[in-house]
Amino acid sequence: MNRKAITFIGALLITISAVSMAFAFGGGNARKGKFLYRKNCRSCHGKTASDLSPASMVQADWKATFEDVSKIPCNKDWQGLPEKDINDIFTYLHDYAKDSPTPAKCS
Amino acid sequence: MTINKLPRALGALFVSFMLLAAMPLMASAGESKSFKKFPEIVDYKFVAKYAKVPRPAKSLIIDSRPYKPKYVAGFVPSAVSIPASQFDKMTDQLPKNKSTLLIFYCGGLKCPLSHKSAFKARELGYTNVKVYAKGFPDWKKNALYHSIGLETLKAKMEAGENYMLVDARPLKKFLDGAIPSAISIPERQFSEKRGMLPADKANTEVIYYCGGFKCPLSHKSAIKARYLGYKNVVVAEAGYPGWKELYGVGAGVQAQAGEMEGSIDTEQFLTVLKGNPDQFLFIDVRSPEEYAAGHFPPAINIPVDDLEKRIDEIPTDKPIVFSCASGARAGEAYYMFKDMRPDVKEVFYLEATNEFTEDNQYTVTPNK
Ligand code: HEC
Repeated sequence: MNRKAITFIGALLITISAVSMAFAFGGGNARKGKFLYRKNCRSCHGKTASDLSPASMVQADWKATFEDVSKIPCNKDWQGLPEKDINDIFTYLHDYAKDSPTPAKCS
Repeated sequence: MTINKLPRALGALFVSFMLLAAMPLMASAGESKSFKKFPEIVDYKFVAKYAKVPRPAKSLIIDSRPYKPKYVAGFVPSAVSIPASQFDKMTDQLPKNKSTLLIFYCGGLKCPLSHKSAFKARELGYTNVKVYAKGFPDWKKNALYHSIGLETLKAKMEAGENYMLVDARPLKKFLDGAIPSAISIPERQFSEKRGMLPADKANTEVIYYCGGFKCPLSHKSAIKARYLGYKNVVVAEAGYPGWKELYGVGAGVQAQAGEMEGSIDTEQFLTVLKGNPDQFLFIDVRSPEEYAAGHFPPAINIPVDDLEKRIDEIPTDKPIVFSCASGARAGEAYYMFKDMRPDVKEVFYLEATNEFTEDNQYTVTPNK
């Protein structure tokens, strides 16, 4: 493995750990999250991937799922997404979860 | 007046004297040719009987000076603007009944415009034509107040001048929509609420308005304010209807943002919806079925799922407001629109929970 690759992986690891460290998700903009979810995720979810929506999980599961985004199977498909946007998406999914006060009824 | 203002005031007075002294000279230099005077001249007392709102039957006062800057800056109450230069084009503004009393005026004894128009009116067959030869300067000297055009009000607003704008209509009308910066002192509560008028009776200009050219409330209030000692009182006669027509409801007030990013203030949403729905483009982003079961009367339907492909058909000449049932899809639509058409600035959504009945009645509850 050449040095460049090592540096790259190193940087990647740092980024990932930084991201997961800073991961106090929540309190984002659920309205924007709904749009960002449509824009970045709906291209697969509901078509080629599971029809994932806020009501797919309870709030605790959303938290657990987003605890470590790198473990989400499709994470590489949305690598470039800023953390702020991910937080907005999380907020949307979490705040309208199946057991939330205002579960999302329709898309 | 405070002592330290005195020298300045004296200075101003002195300058005015100088101007006054110089004026006849300038005038005679400029207008050496005298013009043909209309034979039937009337004075202030005569005109005052007709300068009333609502306008006394079978009479019309006509301002022959140019609309801008003269008429808008100040005119005899109830007078209409028919500039002498436009007279031939504007004869349709004259009353049908040729025996109607027509009083023409312009900028005073040196001004030929009213005489010119009066002759023309007589040629057209009007039988009761008069000229108020001393014109507007004389009116200002004698009358309690005069009227101004909304253009002048707007200019004062923009210049941040020292005025107080008073809406003389009933409170309910005021709440449904008013000229920006106005306070509400309904004519009927003039005495109870006179404490709201400015403390400085000499310098602060009090501008009244109400429901347009036929509305007497602002005129009544203006006269009362003069009797209270206010020196500088005018009426913006075109009132709120004129303002809406000229500047729209948003002029001076932008759509006010609500608490959430991109959301519109719910109060303002309702005010515009009820009072001036043409001022916004209302887009309901719920499904066609939901829309069919009841919606805001002026709203068009573009389901959020169709928004992306229909985004270019949305006109952007007025502020756009998205709404749905809970705010969720409207918010989504807002961000989608912003994302796809970042050039458009005036876009909002309603962060509220809305219920509709089939006859398009609605309840709007702002989300906390
Ligand atoms: C290129 C297609 C694609 C995109 C884009 C995509 N995903 Fe996925 N996602 C998948 C696939 C495939 C799976 C795994 C199988 C499944 O759940 O259908 C998955 C799984 C998931 C899971 C796990 C579901 C579970 O039941 O555990 C989550 C959470 C998820 N995606 C979130 C997202 C989010 C959030 C976005 C947008 C930022 C996104 N995905 C964008 C394809 C995609």
